[in-house]
Amino acid sequence: MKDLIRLFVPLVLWLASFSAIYGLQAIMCRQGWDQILLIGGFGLAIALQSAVLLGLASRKYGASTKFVRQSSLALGLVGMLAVLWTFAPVVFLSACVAA
Amino acid sequence: MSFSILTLLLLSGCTQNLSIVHPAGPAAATIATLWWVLLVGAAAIFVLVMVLLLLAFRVRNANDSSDQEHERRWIVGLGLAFPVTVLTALLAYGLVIGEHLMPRAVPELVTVGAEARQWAWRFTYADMPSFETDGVLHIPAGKPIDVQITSVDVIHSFWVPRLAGKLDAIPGHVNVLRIEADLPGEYDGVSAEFSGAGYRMHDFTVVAHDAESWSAFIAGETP
Repeated sequence: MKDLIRLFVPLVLWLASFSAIYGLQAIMCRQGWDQILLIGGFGLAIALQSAVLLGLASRKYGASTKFVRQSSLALGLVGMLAVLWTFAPVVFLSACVAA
Repeated sequence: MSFSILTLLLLSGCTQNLSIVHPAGPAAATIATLWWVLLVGAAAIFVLVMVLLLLAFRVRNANDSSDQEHERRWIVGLGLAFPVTVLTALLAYGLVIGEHLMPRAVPELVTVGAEARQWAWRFTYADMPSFETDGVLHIPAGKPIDVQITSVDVIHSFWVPRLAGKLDAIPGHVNVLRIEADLPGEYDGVSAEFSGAGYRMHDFTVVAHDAESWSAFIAGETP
Protein backbone atom coordinates (compact mmCIF):
# COMPACT_ATOMS: atom_id res chain seq x y z
CA MET A 1 0.00 0.00 0.00
CA LYS A 2 2.79 2.41 0.94
CA ASP A 3 4.60 1.54 -2.26
CA LEU A 4 1.46 2.39 -4.23
CA ILE A 5 1.37 5.79 -2.55
CA ARG A 6 5.05 6.33 -3.37
CA LEU A 7 4.27 5.65 -7.02
CA PHE A 8 1.23 7.87 -7.47
CA VAL A 9 2.02 10.79 -5.15
CA PRO A 10 4.42 12.69 -7.50
CA LEU A 11 2.02 12.98 -10.43
CA VAL A 12 -1.09 13.40 -8.26
CA LEU A 13 0.73 16.28 -6.58
CA TRP A 14 1.48 17.80 -10.00
CA LEU A 15 -2.19 17.34 -10.96
CA ALA A 16 -3.36 19.04 -7.75
CA SER A 17 -0.84 21.87 -8.24
CA PHE A 18 -1.99 22.36 -11.82
CA SER A 19 -5.63 22.60 -10.75
CA ALA A 20 -4.72 24.98 -7.92
CA ILE A 21 -2.66 27.29 -10.18
CA TYR A 22 -5.43 27.23 -12.80
CA GLY A 23 -8.08 28.09 -10.23
CA LEU A 24 -5.86 30.71 -8.58
CA GLN A 25 -5.37 32.46 -11.92
CA ALA A 26 -9.12 32.66 -12.49
CA ILE A 27 -9.80 34.06 -9.00
CA MET A 28 -6.78 36.38 -9.19
CA CYS A 29 -7.89 37.90 -12.49
CA ARG A 30 -11.47 38.23 -11.30
CA GLN A 31 -10.45 39.94 -8.06
CA GLY A 32 -7.69 42.05 -9.62
CA TRP A 33 -4.99 40.59 -7.38
CA ASP A 34 -1.30 40.91 -8.23
CA GLN A 35 0.36 38.28 -10.42
CA ILE A 36 2.97 37.75 -7.71
CA LEU A 37 0.44 35.36 -6.12
CA LEU A 38 0.68 33.10 -9.15
CA ILE A 39 4.48 33.18 -9.04
CA GLY A 40 4.25 32.33 -5.34
CA GLY A 41 2.04 29.36 -6.24
CA PHE A 42 4.65 28.24 -8.75
CA GLY A 43 7.34 28.46 -6.05
CA LEU A 44 5.18 26.49 -3.62
CA ALA A 45 4.58 23.79 -6.25
CA ILE A 46 8.34 23.46 -6.79
CA ALA A 47 8.92 23.26 -3.02
CA LEU A 48 6.28 20.55 -2.56
CA GLN A 49 7.51 18.54 -5.52
CA SER A 50 11.09 18.84 -4.24
CA ALA A 51 9.99 17.63 -0.80
CA VAL A 52 8.33 14.58 -2.35
CA LEU A 53 11.41 13.86 -4.46
CA LEU A 54 13.71 14.14 -1.44
CA GLY A 55 11.35 11.96 0.60
CA LEU A 56 11.34 9.26 -2.09
CA ALA A 57 15.14 9.36 -2.20
CA SER A 58 15.51 9.13 1.60
CA ARG A 59 15.94 5.93 3.57
CA LYS A 60 13.11 6.83 5.94
CA TYR A 61 10.36 7.41 3.35
CA GLY A 62 11.79 5.83 0.21
CA ALA A 63 10.88 2.33 -1.01
CA SER A 64 12.92 -0.66 0.05
CA THR A 65 12.59 -2.64 -3.19
CA LYS A 66 14.72 -1.61 -6.13
CA PHE A 67 11.88 -1.55 -8.67
CA VAL A 68 9.56 0.69 -6.62
CA ARG A 69 12.45 2.91 -5.56
CA GLN A 70 13.63 3.52 -9.12
CA SER A 71 10.10 3.89 -10.49
CA SER A 72 8.98 6.33 -7.78
CA LEU A 73 12.13 8.42 -8.22
CA ALA A 74 11.60 8.48 -11.98
CA LEU A 75 7.99 9.57 -11.46
CA GLY A 76 9.17 12.18 -8.95
CA LEU A 77 11.55 13.55 -11.58
CA VAL A 78 8.78 13.55 -14.19
CA GLY A 79 6.52 15.41 -11.71
CA MET A 80 9.22 18.03 -11.16
CA LEU A 81 9.80 18.47 -14.90
CA ALA A 82 6.02 18.72 -15.41
CA VAL A 83 5.81 21.47 -12.78
CA LEU A 84 8.67 23.42 -14.40
CA TRP A 85 7.35 22.91 -17.94
CA THR A 86 3.69 23.75 -17.32
CA PHE A 87 3.97 26.44 -14.63
CA ALA A 88 7.08 28.41 -15.65
CA PRO A 89 5.11 30.66 -18.08
CA VAL A 90 3.30 32.27 -15.10
CA VAL A 91 6.56 34.07 -14.36
CA PHE A 92 6.87 35.89 -17.69
CA LEU A 93 3.46 35.83 -19.39
CA SER A 94 0.49 38.14 -18.86
CA ALA A 95 -2.03 36.32 -16.70
CA CYS A 96 -5.08 38.52 -17.07
CA VAL A 97 -6.86 40.59 -19.68
CA ALA A 98 -8.72 43.63 -18.37
CA ALA A 99 -12.33 43.64 -19.57
CA MET B 1 4.28 14.38 -49.30
CA SER B 2 0.88 12.92 -50.19
CA PHE B 3 -0.43 14.50 -47.00
CA SER B 4 0.79 17.93 -48.15
CA ILE B 5 -0.69 17.52 -51.64
CA LEU B 6 -4.01 16.35 -50.19
CA THR B 7 -4.07 19.30 -47.81
CA LEU B 8 -3.39 21.77 -50.62
CA LEU B 9 -6.11 20.15 -52.73
CA LEU B 10 -8.59 20.38 -49.89
CA LEU B 11 -7.62 24.00 -49.26
CA SER B 12 -8.38 24.86 -52.85
CA GLY B 13 -12.03 24.34 -51.94
CA CYS B 14 -11.91 27.11 -49.33
CA THR B 15 -13.54 30.42 -50.15
CA GLN B 16 -11.76 33.47 -48.84
CA ASN B 17 -14.69 34.77 -46.78
CA LEU B 18 -14.04 32.49 -43.82
CA SER B 19 -10.46 31.53 -44.60
CA ILE B 20 -7.75 31.84 -41.97
CA VAL B 21 -5.11 31.61 -44.71
CA HIS B 22 -6.38 34.85 -46.26
CA PRO B 23 -5.74 37.20 -43.34
CA ALA B 24 -6.91 40.80 -43.60
CA GLY B 25 -5.49 42.14 -40.35
CA PRO B 26 -2.40 41.88 -38.13
CA ALA B 27 -3.83 39.38 -35.61
CA ALA B 28 -5.13 37.09 -38.34
CA ALA B 29 -1.79 37.38 -40.18
CA THR B 30 0.07 36.28 -37.06
CA ILE B 31 -2.24 33.29 -36.66
CA ALA B 32 -1.96 32.42 -40.38
CA THR B 33 1.84 32.45 -40.12
CA LEU B 34 1.63 30.07 -37.16
CA TRP B 35 -0.64 27.82 -39.21
CA TRP B 36 1.81 27.71 -42.13
CA VAL B 37 4.76 27.06 -39.82
CA LEU B 38 2.87 24.16 -38.24
CA LEU B 39 1.82 22.75 -41.63
CA VAL B 40 5.26 22.96 -43.22
CA GLY B 41 6.99 21.74 -40.06
CA ALA B 42 4.61 18.81 -39.61
CA ALA B 43 4.93 17.85 -43.27
CA ALA B 44 8.75 17.99 -43.10
CA ILE B 45 8.85 15.87 -39.95
CA PHE B 46 6.37 13.41 -41.47
CA VAL B 47 8.58 13.02 -44.56
CA LEU B 48 11.69 12.60 -42.38
CA VAL B 49 10.02 9.87 -40.30
CA MET B 50 8.76 8.04 -43.40
CA VAL B 51 12.23 8.14 -44.98
CA LEU B 52 13.79 6.81 -41.78
CA LEU B 53 11.13 4.11 -41.61
CA LEU B 54 11.92 3.00 -45.16
CA LEU B 55 15.65 3.05 -44.42
CA ALA B 56 15.06 0.97 -41.31
CA PHE B 57 13.77 -1.90 -43.46
CA ARG B 58 17.02 -1.87 -45.45
CA VAL B 59 19.37 -2.02 -42.46
CA ARG B 60 20.51 -5.38 -41.14
CA ASN B 61 19.61 -6.46 -37.62
CA ALA B 62 21.77 -5.23 -34.78
CA ASN B 63 23.81 -8.12 -33.48
CA ASP B 64 26.84 -6.80 -31.71
CA SER B 65 27.14 -4.28 -28.92
CA SER B 66 28.42 -1.44 -31.16
CA ASP B 67 25.27 -1.69 -33.31
CA GLN B 68 23.10 -1.63 -30.22
CA GLU B 69 24.95 1.45 -28.97
CA HIS B 70 24.40 3.04 -32.37
CA GLU B 71 20.66 2.29 -32.17
CA ARG B 72 20.49 3.71 -28.68
CA ARG B 73 21.94 6.99 -29.93
CA TRP B 74 19.25 7.13 -32.62
CA ILE B 75 16.49 6.46 -30.11
CA VAL B 76 17.73 9.08 -27.66
CA GLY B 77 18.55 11.60 -30.38
CA LEU B 78 15.55 11.34 -32.68
CA GLY B 79 13.16 9.66 -30.26
CA LEU B 80 13.64 12.00 -27.31
CA ALA B 81 15.89 14.99 -28.01
CA PHE B 82 14.31 15.85 -31.35
CA PRO B 83 10.63 15.88 -30.16
CA VAL B 84 11.58 17.74 -26.98
CA THR B 85 13.43 20.38 -29.04
CA VAL B 86 10.56 20.74 -31.53
CA LEU B 87 7.90 20.93 -28.81
CA THR B 88 9.93 23.42 -26.79
CA ALA B 89 10.39 25.65 -29.84
CA LEU B 90 6.68 25.42 -30.69
CA LEU B 91 5.71 26.19 -27.09
CA ALA B 92 7.96 29.25 -27.04
CA TYR B 93 6.62 30.39 -30.42
CA GLY B 94 3.02 29.88 -29.26
CA LEU B 95 3.61 31.79 -26.03
CA VAL B 96 5.21 34.72 -27.86
CA ILE B 97 2.25 34.82 -30.28
CA GLY B 98 -0.20 34.61 -27.38
CA GLU B 99 1.43 37.66 -25.77
CA HIS B 100 1.46 39.47 -29.11
CA LEU B 101 -2.31 38.94 -29.51
CA MET B 102 -3.18 40.26 -26.05
CA PRO B 103 -5.46 43.33 -26.10
CA ARG B 104 -3.07 45.85 -24.57
CA ALA B 105 -3.69 49.58 -24.23
CA VAL B 106 -2.69 51.35 -27.46
CA PRO B 107 -3.42 54.79 -28.96
CA GLU B 108 -6.53 55.18 -31.13
CA LEU B 109 -8.16 52.11 -29.60
CA VAL B 110 -11.83 51.71 -30.51
CA THR B 111 -14.07 49.69 -28.20
CA VAL B 112 -17.22 47.87 -29.28
CA GLY B 113 -19.46 45.34 -27.59
CA ALA B 114 -20.68 42.02 -29.02
CA GLU B 115 -23.63 40.39 -27.28
CA ALA B 116 -24.58 36.93 -28.47
CA ARG B 117 -27.90 35.16 -28.08
CA GLN B 118 -29.62 32.19 -29.74
CA TRP B 119 -29.16 32.96 -32.64
CA ALA B 120 -28.26 36.56 -33.24
CA TRP B 121 -25.54 39.08 -32.52
CA ARG B 122 -26.10 42.59 -31.17
CA PHE B 123 -23.28 45.12 -31.34
CA THR B 124 -22.79 48.27 -29.28
CA TYR B 125 -20.30 51.13 -29.65
CA ALA B 126 -18.41 52.96 -26.90
CA ASP B 127 -18.32 56.06 -29.12
CA MET B 128 -22.13 55.96 -29.52
CA PRO B 129 -23.56 54.74 -26.20
CA SER B 130 -27.22 54.67 -27.24
CA PHE B 131 -26.65 53.06 -30.63
CA GLU B 132 -26.66 49.35 -31.47
CA THR B 133 -26.73 47.20 -34.58
CA ASP B 134 -28.01 43.68 -35.14
CA GLY B 135 -26.00 41.24 -37.23
CA VAL B 136 -23.56 43.86 -38.52
CA LEU B 137 -20.54 45.17 -36.64
CA HIS B 138 -19.12 48.47 -37.88
CA ILE B 139 -15.45 49.24 -37.28
CA PRO B 140 -12.88 51.67 -38.67
CA ALA B 141 -10.22 50.10 -40.91
CA GLY B 142 -6.59 50.40 -39.86
CA LYS B 143 -7.32 50.90 -36.17
CA PRO B 144 -7.16 48.40 -33.31
CA ILE B 145 -10.59 47.38 -32.03
CA ASP B 146 -11.34 45.76 -28.68
CA VAL B 147 -14.47 43.63 -28.93
CA GLN B 148 -16.02 43.06 -25.51
CA ILE B 149 -17.77 39.75 -25.99
CA THR B 150 -20.54 38.33 -23.85
CA SER B 151 -23.70 36.23 -24.09
CA VAL B 152 -27.19 36.47 -22.64
CA ASP B 153 -28.05 32.75 -22.79
CA VAL B 154 -25.61 29.92 -23.61
CA ILE B 155 -21.94 29.91 -24.62
CA HIS B 156 -21.29 31.13 -28.16
CA SER B 157 -18.02 32.07 -29.85
CA PHE B 158 -17.12 35.22 -31.76
CA TRP B 159 -15.00 34.48 -34.82
CA VAL B 160 -14.06 36.62 -37.81
CA PRO B 161 -11.42 34.33 -39.38
CA ARG B 162 -9.86 36.99 -41.63
CA LEU B 163 -9.42 39.47 -38.78
CA ALA B 164 -8.49 37.50 -35.63
CA GLY B 165 -8.81 34.29 -33.67
CA LYS B 166 -11.99 33.15 -31.97
CA LEU B 167 -13.10 33.91 -28.44
CA ASP B 168 -15.98 32.52 -26.40
CA ALA B 169 -19.03 34.57 -25.48
CA ILE B 170 -19.87 33.49 -21.94
CA PRO B 171 -23.02 34.45 -20.01
CA GLY B 172 -22.22 36.79 -17.10
CA HIS B 173 -18.64 37.33 -18.22
CA VAL B 174 -16.91 39.69 -20.67
CA ASN B 175 -14.02 38.45 -22.81
CA VAL B 176 -11.97 40.92 -24.82
CA LEU B 177 -10.69 40.18 -28.33
CA ARG B 178 -8.42 42.54 -30.27
CA ILE B 179 -9.29 42.68 -33.97
CA GLU B 180 -8.13 44.95 -36.78
CA ALA B 181 -8.86 45.20 -40.50
CA ASP B 182 -6.05 46.48 -42.70
CA LEU B 183 -8.43 47.74 -45.39
CA PRO B 184 -12.06 48.84 -45.66
CA GLY B 185 -14.44 46.08 -46.70
CA GLU B 186 -16.85 43.43 -45.46
CA TYR B 187 -15.66 40.45 -43.48
CA ASP B 188 -17.77 37.43 -42.55
CA GLY B 189 -18.10 36.31 -38.96
CA VAL B 190 -19.61 33.20 -37.41
CA SER B 191 -20.30 31.69 -34.04
CA ALA B 192 -17.74 28.95 -33.56
CA GLU B 193 -19.46 27.21 -30.65
CA PHE B 194 -22.41 24.86 -31.17
CA SER B 195 -25.45 26.39 -29.53
CA GLY B 196 -28.49 24.45 -30.68
CA ALA B 197 -30.82 24.28 -33.65
CA GLY B 198 -30.07 27.71 -35.13
CA TYR B 199 -26.30 27.42 -34.81
CA ARG B 200 -25.66 27.02 -38.55
CA MET B 201 -27.15 30.43 -39.33
CA HIS B 202 -25.62 32.18 -36.32
CA ASP B 203 -23.41 34.48 -38.36
CA PHE B 204 -22.73 38.19 -38.76
CA THR B 205 -20.82 40.67 -40.90
CA VAL B 206 -18.06 43.07 -39.98
CA VAL B 207 -18.01 46.26 -42.04
CA ALA B 208 -14.67 48.07 -41.93
CA HIS B 209 -15.02 51.74 -42.89
CA ASP B 210 -12.45 54.14 -44.27
CA ALA B 211 -11.81 57.25 -42.15
CA GLU B 212 -14.45 59.39 -43.83
CA SER B 213 -17.15 56.73 -43.70
CA TRP B 214 -16.35 55.94 -40.06
CA SER B 215 -16.66 59.61 -39.10
CA ALA B 216 -20.06 59.67 -40.77
CA PHE B 217 -21.08 56.51 -38.92
CA ILE B 218 -19.99 57.89 -35.56
CA ALA B 219 -21.86 61.11 -36.32
CA GLY B 220 -25.01 59.04 -36.64
CA GLU B 221 -25.33 59.30 -40.39
CA THR B 222 -26.27 56.24 -42.42
CA PRO B 223 -23.10 54.21 -43.13
